[in-house]
This record gives sequence, structure tokens and C-alpha cells, in this order.
Amino acid sequence: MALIEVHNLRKEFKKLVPKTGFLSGIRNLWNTDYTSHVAVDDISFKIEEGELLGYIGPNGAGKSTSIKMMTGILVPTAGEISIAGMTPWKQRREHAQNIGVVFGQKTQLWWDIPPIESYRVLKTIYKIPDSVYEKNLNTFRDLLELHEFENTPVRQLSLGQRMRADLAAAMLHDPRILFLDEPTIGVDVLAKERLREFIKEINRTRGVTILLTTHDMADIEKLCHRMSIIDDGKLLYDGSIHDLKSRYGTERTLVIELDDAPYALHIPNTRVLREEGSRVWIAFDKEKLSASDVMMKVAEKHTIRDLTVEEPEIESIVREIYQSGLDRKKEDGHVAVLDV
Amino acid sequence: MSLFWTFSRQHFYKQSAYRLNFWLEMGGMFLQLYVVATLWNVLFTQTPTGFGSATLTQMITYAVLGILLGAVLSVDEGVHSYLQGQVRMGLITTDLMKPVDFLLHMLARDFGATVVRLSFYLLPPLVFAYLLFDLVLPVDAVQVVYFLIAVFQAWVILFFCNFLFGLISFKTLDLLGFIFTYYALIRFASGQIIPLWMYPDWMQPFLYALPFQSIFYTPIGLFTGVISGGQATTALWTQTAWMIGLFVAARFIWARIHRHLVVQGG
Amino acid sequence: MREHLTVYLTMIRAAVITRLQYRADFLMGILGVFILNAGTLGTTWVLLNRFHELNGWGFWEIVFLYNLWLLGHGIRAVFFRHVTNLEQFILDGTFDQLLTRPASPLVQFMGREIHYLGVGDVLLSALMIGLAYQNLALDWTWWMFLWFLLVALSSAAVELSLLLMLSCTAFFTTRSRALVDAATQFSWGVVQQYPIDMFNNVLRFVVTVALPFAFMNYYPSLLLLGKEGSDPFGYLTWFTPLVALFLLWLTARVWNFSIKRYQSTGS
Repeated sequence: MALIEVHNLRKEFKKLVPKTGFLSGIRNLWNTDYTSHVAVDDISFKIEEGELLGYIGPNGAGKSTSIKMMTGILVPTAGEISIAGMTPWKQRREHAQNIGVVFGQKTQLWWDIPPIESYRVLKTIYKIPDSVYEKNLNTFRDLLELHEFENTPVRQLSLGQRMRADLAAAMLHDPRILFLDEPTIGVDVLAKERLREFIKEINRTRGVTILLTTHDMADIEKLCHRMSIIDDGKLLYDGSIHDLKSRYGTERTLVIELDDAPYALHIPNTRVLREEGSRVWIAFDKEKLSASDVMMKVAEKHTIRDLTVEEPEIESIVREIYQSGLDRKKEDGHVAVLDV
Repeated sequence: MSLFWTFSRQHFYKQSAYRLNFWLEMGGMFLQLYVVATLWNVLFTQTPTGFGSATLTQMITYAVLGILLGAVLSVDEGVHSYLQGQVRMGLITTDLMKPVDFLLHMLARDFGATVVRLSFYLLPPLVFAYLLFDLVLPVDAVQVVYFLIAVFQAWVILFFCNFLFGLISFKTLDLLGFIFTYYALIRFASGQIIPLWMYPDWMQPFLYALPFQSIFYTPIGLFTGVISGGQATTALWTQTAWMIGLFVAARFIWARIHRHLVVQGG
Repeated sequence: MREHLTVYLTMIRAAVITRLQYRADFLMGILGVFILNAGTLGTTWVLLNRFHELNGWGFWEIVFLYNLWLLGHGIRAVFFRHVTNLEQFILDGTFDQLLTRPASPLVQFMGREIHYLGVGDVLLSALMIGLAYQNLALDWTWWMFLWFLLVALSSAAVELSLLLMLSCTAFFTTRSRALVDAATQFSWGVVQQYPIDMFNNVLRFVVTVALPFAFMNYYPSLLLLGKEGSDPFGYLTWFTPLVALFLLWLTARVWNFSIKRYQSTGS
């Protein structure tokens, strides 16, 4: 049995439909129109102990809602979750001992006091033994350089420091699973790098299972072996990053630097993306052509001075997947109209 | 002028977004009305001569107007709370960078909020109150016009009082302690609930010497007819004098603070 | 129980450290509270200076009534001022974090903040009750003093329960503040300074049964001032601590029910 098992998870809630148009402001005073909104729609997956999973999707896709269900904050409308053999919302307290949670948007530390004081409170709440507390605190002092700011009120910390302090807070009680909801949001490049190092480190040395949501694909590429893409409440992709690239990213770009200005580069099955001086970007599908095919065609007419092949960024692949999800939605709509 | 309407529209949308709040506030206002009306009824039954020359109907009208105007000319949602918020969050510099005169900008913002409160909290509940209670209404157009002028001038006076008060936050960052003092002063000295003539004789000269009586006592007194004839014009001119005086004070003090801010770089 | 207490005390410690950061506000805040209440009492004084009594209650009796309310309110405000802010806790996600920890959300919520403004209320009300005691030439027996202490705590408990129950609507609508504000008007706008037997039966029913704020000051005052005969329902004065206990019990039930609802309907 996997550490985390999610079966047919579903969550819906009601939303008020605001009136628009003539005198909308006044008519809203007695508005009672609600629609049911499906935030998470029949999602299933498993996560093994020690995995580091990237969980991505656009805003409002259902990421946070599913994390809230896995952390025991919300109860699903339907479906099951079993984490370390427990149902989060039924055995909320025992489950809470097992997990650590960081919401990037909202610190769990007391705003006006130094992190070290917050840690003392958490020590009591999680009933952390003195020895474990001291040991962990010392580890994090090294890893996250907590000592720099552990005595400064949180409101005076930079976002990067605050996030480090939050990560330490979530790890104090040795959780088996860590939920990180956008832990790198708004953090500068250097601080991001440091956070990633720490996340990688605790995953590797402590075997902590980590579920990470982010909008920064660099986080995913540098940290995760596996990713799940969710949009509109549905799971669009679940698998390794390598597979994602080979399945969806078959387009390559050849960047060629020529001796002279490019002309007559009409090679079948390719597209010229951009020209700039003597440099040209040519896109091709690697299933249909090889880079050397393209290169030879170009070499027939030009002298090539330099060239590189660019792999697609994971970001553009993901964008494509969202897009195709969107297209499918449109098609569904079309079918529904035909049925009528 | 368009600045004034922009803010009005914004506030209108904000107001109508919270529908439940609106009905609850209405309910709250009618509870207050009922409580004060009962209070005057009980006291009148006890001592019919206690109100001096005013009748019970006049007193109840006074109470109704006091409560409704209290909701329109808000002492807790004024420019001072905006200033405090901006100063605290360090956002005041963005206001200073706008290509509008700061005082005018603040006035427009407050105008928007007040117009919206006026349209929600004055006329509709006044109609209701008229159906529920026995009220005295202005007897002629002059009295109505006087009342409207008085309300307008009261708004300007309250705005400048709030503005001057809000400037404290530039010094202290926080108004909490002062705000209670300010509320207490306005509640006690403006005649919003108890008409000024009911205060002990020795206290009245002090109350008349403060700007706060111009905010509530003057418009309510004009509406209910307890201020009439020559007194009415005097009251209106007193308001005008306060408007000008407070405007000059606000300009002067603001100029000094502004200079200080520019020098210090915010 | 002991575990709850440990968590609560640790959290209160953090809350105190938080407050100490803003020490400068302390004196000004307390002074402000004094002046604010003096303003309200001043209004009552102006009226009673002219009319001598209100529905059979003299100035110092009203002072007693008002300050018993203020005492209960102050005790509540020191420890639980933030209960009416539950809506904000839910909106900004703080409440969700409480649910991810292995401790009672209620205990964690209660211990989240502490406030000094209530200290001003407690000091002022103690002083004014003392003055009223003298001016009314009251002469309590020792068990009456004990009863008074019990009543003061009950008053705080009544206010806490009612406010927390009302704030629990935030779990359903995420907009509870307006409702709380409207309901508390029955407290600061009605029972705080008026002997409620001057009002009609509907309003009396509301503040006695529906939103029993009258148990904060009016009913307990009847016995303490020896006026229980002045009101046909005067015997209710004896029920003050029981009402407080019942409300606390009810609040715990409402809280648990609301959290369950929130977990299954929230987003």
C-alpha cells in the first residue's frame, strides 16, 4: 500500500452568482442565485514513501482544494484519501502529527515575534521531546542558516528568510510527509535556489515524502521526478517528467548562425520561427525529421557558422497541455449542443 | 468634479456588494431609533416639562435625525482611518505622487463615501421612520434648503476635523488610543443624541464654542425647528466660519507635514 | 483537559510577547478607554442631571448597571477580544493552519491573541462600581461579595458565548462581521445603560432569551442593588451563573457543529 492513496476524490461547493446589468448593485441586495462549482473532479493517484511530486495547474484548478483535503482541513464531497493508513479528516489530530504544511501565501509563524518563539509554541502543540527539538533546530540552523534571523520578528524578515523559517517550522516534529503549497512564490532567484536545496536535502537524507505545488517550472525541473498536472479539477497528466517531455515535447528548435542573411529556407515539415540578422530559428518535429536532415538542407545554400538544438521548455509543454484541456472543454460543449 | 463621481461610483459598488450587511445595518439603525424614542417617551411621561419648550414629537424627530445623520456623517469610516491605514502600510507616498492636490483627492474620496451613505442611509430609512413614528417635518421650502445647506457644511466640517485628527497618525503611526478620545468628544459635544440645551447651563458656552455642535446639532436643529428664525442664519454662518477656519488650518498643517515628508523622503 | 491548558498557556505566552512589542500604545489605549466610557457615562449624567431618574433608576444605579456590563466586557476583551474577528482568521487562511495541527482548533483560536484595552475597562469599571457602592450606601455581606465575583465572571462568559456563537456564522457565510455587529447592538445599545424593563416585551424577550445580553448586567444588578422586587421577572437574577454555564456549553456545541459544516462545505 502506498503512503498516500487518493481515490475518486471530488469536491464541490456553492458560489453566489452576482447580478449584472441594469441596477445590478441594488438587485444584488436580495440575490440568492447559487451555482455549484466542482473544484476537484474525480481525481485518483498514489504517492510512494520518499517521492517528491510536483503538483501543478493554473490558479483555481483545484490544487489548493485537494491539498486542503489531504491535510485534513476540508472533507471531500466524495471519494477517499488514505495517508499512512489514516483518513485525514477523520483522524485529524493523529494525521496532523504525520504531516508538515507550508502555505507560501500565508506564514504559520506568529507575525510580530521572532521565529524561535513560534517554534516554542509548536514544540508544545506537537509534543516534540526536548532532544528531538534541539537536534532538529540545530540541523535547520545549519541547513537554512536560521541563526541569522531566528531572533528577529517575522514581520521584519525578507520573504526568502520567512519561507526558510516556515519550512523549519513545518519540519520540527519530524513529519513523514510535507505539503508545500507554492513555497517559492515571490522569492528572489538566490533565495529560491537555497529553498530548493533544502527541499531536496530533506527529501534525500530524511526520506520525507513531499508534495509540492508551484507556478515556477524551474522548481519542478530541479526538484521533482514526477509531476501531476491538474486543470479545471481534473487530472490531465501524472507521470515522470522525462515521459512528459518525450510524449508531448517532440518539437525541437534548431538555431543556426549563417555567414550571410538567410533566404529560401523552405524546408518541408519545418517552420521558420524567427530571423535576426544572420541568425535563424527553425522548428521541426523530431519524429519526422532529424536535426542533421534540417542542417543538411540549410547547408545546401548557406555556410553554417554555428548551431544549437533547443529542447522545449517544460513550461511551454505545460501550456500546451492546459490549452488542449481547454480545447477539449470546447468540444464537449459542442457535443452537448448537438445532443439537444 | 469627475474625480468626485468616480469615487462615488466605486463606493456604490462596494456598498451594494455586501447585501446582508446593508439589511443588518438598517435593522441596527431602527433598533437605535426605537431605544431613543422609548427613552424620550419614558422621560416625558415622568417629567413632561423636562424638554423645555420642545415637544415630544420634536424630540423624537431629533433622535431620528441624529441617528440617520450619524450613519451618513460617519465618525469611524472617515478620512482619518484611510490616512492611518495608508501611513501604516507605507502607501501614503503613492497618494502623494498622484497628480491631484492631496487635500482635494481626500475630499473627493470622502465625498464618494458620503454620497453613497446618504442615498442608502438617509432617505429610505427616513421614509420608514415617518411611517413608524410621529415626526415633525420642515414647514416650508426655506427650512428644507437650510437643512440641506447645513448637512453639506456639516460634512465639510467633519471632513476637516477627521483630516486634522488623522494627521496625528503621521506622528504616531497608530490612532487607536486617540480615536476613542475623539469618538467620545464628538459623541458628547456634537449634540447628536442629546440636544445642546439639555446640558447644564455652565457647560453650554463650551459646547457652542467647539466645532462639533456644527456637525450634528445645527442640521438636526434646523430640520426639527428647534433652531429657527435669526438663530438659523447665525447657525449657518457659524458653520461657514468653521469650514473656512478648519480649511485654513488643514492646509497650513498639511503643508508643513508634506514638506517634512518630502525632506525625509517619506 | 491538562493538554488543552498547556497548549493554551504556551500560546498566551506568545500572544503576550506580541503585545509587548507595542508597549507604547498601552497607556494611550487605556487612557482612551477611560475617556470613551466617560463620554458615554457623561451623556447619562447630563440626562439624569435634568430628570433625576430613569424608570425608577437613579444616576448611581445606572452607573452600577453600566459598569457591571463594562467589567464583564473588559474581562472578556482582555482574553477573547479577537473572537469577533473569526471571519478574518478564516478569510486569510489562519484558521486552516490551526486545523493542520494536532491540537484543538478552539483552544488554539482562543489563545491566539491577548489585548490590553480590556485592562482599561476592568480598571475603570472596578473604580466606578466602588464609587457607586459608596454613593448608594450598599452594605453587602461577605457572600454577596463572592456572588458579585461569580456574577462578574458570568457576565464575561455570557458575552464571550454569545459573540463566539454569532461569529461561528463565519464558517457558513465567511461574512459574519455584519451579523455580529448588528447583534451586539442589543448589548452596547440596549442593555449596557438602560434598565430593560422600560422597553416593550418584544425587546425584553430578545435580550433575555434570544440574545441574553441582559444577564451581563441587568438581571444580576437587581439582586446586588436590592431591586429584585422592581421587576416581575426579578427572580431571574438568581439564574445568572447558570445561564452563563448553559451558554458556554451551547457554544461548544455550536462551535463543533460549525467546524464540521465548514470542513464539508468550505473551499
